[in-house]
Amino acid sequence: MMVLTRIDFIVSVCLFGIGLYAMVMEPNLIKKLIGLNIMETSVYLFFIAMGDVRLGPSTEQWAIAPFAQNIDAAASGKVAMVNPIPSALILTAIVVSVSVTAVALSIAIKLYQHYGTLDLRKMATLKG
Amino acid sequence: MQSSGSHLQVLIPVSYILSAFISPLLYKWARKCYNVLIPLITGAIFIASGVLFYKVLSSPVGFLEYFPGFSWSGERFLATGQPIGIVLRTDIFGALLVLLITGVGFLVSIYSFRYIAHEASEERIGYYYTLLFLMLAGMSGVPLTGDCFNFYVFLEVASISSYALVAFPGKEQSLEAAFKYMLVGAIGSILIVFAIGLLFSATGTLNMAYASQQVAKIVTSSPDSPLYNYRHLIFASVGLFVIGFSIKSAFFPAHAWLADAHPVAPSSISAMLSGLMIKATGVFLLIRFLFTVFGFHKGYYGQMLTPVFLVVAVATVIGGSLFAIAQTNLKRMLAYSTIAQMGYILIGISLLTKAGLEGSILHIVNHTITKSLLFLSAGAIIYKTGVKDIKGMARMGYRMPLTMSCFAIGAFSMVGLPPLSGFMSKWALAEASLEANFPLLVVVLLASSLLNAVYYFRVVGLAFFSPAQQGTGTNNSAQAHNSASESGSELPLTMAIPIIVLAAGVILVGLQLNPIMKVIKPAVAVLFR
Repeated sequence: MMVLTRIDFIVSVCLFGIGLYAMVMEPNLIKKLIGLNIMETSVYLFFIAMGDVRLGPSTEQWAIAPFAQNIDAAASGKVAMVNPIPSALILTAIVVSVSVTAVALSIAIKLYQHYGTLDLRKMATLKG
Repeated sequence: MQSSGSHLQVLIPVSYILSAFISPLLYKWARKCYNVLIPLITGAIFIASGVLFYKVLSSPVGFLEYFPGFSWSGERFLATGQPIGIVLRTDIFGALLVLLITGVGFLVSIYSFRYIAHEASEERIGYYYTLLFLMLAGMSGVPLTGDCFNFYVFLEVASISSYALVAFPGKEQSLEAAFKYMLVGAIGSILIVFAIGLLFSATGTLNMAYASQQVAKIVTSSPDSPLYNYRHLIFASVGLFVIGFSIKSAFFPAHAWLADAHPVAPSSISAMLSGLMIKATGVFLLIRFLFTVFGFHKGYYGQMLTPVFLVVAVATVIGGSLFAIAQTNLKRMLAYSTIAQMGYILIGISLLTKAGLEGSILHIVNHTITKSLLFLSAGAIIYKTGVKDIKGMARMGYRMPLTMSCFAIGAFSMVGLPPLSGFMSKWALAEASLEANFPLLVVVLLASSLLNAVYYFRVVGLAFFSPAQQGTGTNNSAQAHNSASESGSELPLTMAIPIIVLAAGVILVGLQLNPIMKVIKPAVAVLFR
């Protein structure tokens, strides 16, 4: 599999799994949020790794945008640059995730004030 | 390709964002005319979206393309033909959704003054409108854009403000529901970004129209072409998009958050969430990606998605209806009914035919109007009498005749009684499924209509036909007469008008089907291009 040749993608998927596990299995609200942030980080890693365009004729080219740059120049090996778009996207995505975390933490604080605990199992007032 | 964009495509979300930030200031400095200013703003935006809708309809290609900003060289395309920068591309379906969003947003902004003062402290109204406007900005931005990452940003703006709005009353229940909603919504969003990343890595562009050309090149490439290796990226991207949007639109395995979050939100927000949010951020984007970007109707992928979608859709329809019957809380019942109705929309999508998609879009229009009406009426009942349980609805038709009549119209439309809009879309969906050779789906549609009838008629029956608790027939008629004379003061005018307008909308959509189909048919044609 070509996927396995890129360590950054494997790490990204592993991080995604760890984050998802923490989010689903941990009963503590703060740990859930940490899991959420780990998941988001895995996506950032994926994007940033994808922007790495080392276009040499011998380089393994999995997940390198085929249309992003002039293909003729790439074939002659003259172009070797980092794709700037993923970095720009991730700047935006970080802002988004900071806002999600801020809203979530403020709700968690409110919940703590009401219940005196951060354990989600002890605050189940909603019926299935 | 000439640019035929309209500035309104930018102005609609931007003016929502601006009014979001001036709303607390207006509340502080101009409290006397606040009740006039807010409807003026939302009304003006509604009119603007009407103009935009007309412009999109009358454009020969069926969409408007607007390039904000500029590029240094003055060019919009690379040598390879790839567009540079973010493009706002609004097709007929998008413009129709924006019209619905701004319209219901206008009505809800009128409705909210009295309702929010009742649900939370009056001091916070300014901040309530900030969040409401931000949510509207996000929701109206999603259908207007033609860029894969831009829609994600709008989607997150809408989602984050909706998390905060669910928590707005500040009670234990609403905080907890908001937290759960936030967790599930965040997982959905992350899956969507991941899918955007995969799509970008395969196609090298974020422009939806250009990406769809590249996707077509990749999935139709022969095994010896270098593009063939990118096919698995496309498939992974499709999978993640479908799961992400399914979470956002609460399809069966991921429906639980909706039943928690929508009922405990303030009723005005329940109407926005149930009527618009799950469509703008869920089903609309599902349709946009499946058809416009990935081109499922062109048969590149075989029929692999149809059986999966149909199983999910049938489970959603039947499961949602059965759960709704078991509910004792009125708003919770409405939320489960929303889940069932989302299943209908998915049935139309999963057929991957023109007729099916027309049925789906018609059902989106219907459900938006009808469910907003039902939630606003439920809110009016809570406002006036504090009754939240279905049991407490007994004889409500005599205490609040106007509200309950409008509620009954909405309920009948949901069940699918013939002259009303719900019947029309169910009929269209049934016809489409017969056409696509799935006759069993008609049975599902019929069965779920019966289930709908069970729980909606229970409420309407309790409200109008339950026997009087005490007293005789004369007493009864005296009571009815008494409440009829009071019906003028049944509700504050700002709450009654949105409900009446929406009820009129339900009837009008049912009666005036032809003009609406004249919009939906070209919308589907543009999506299928």
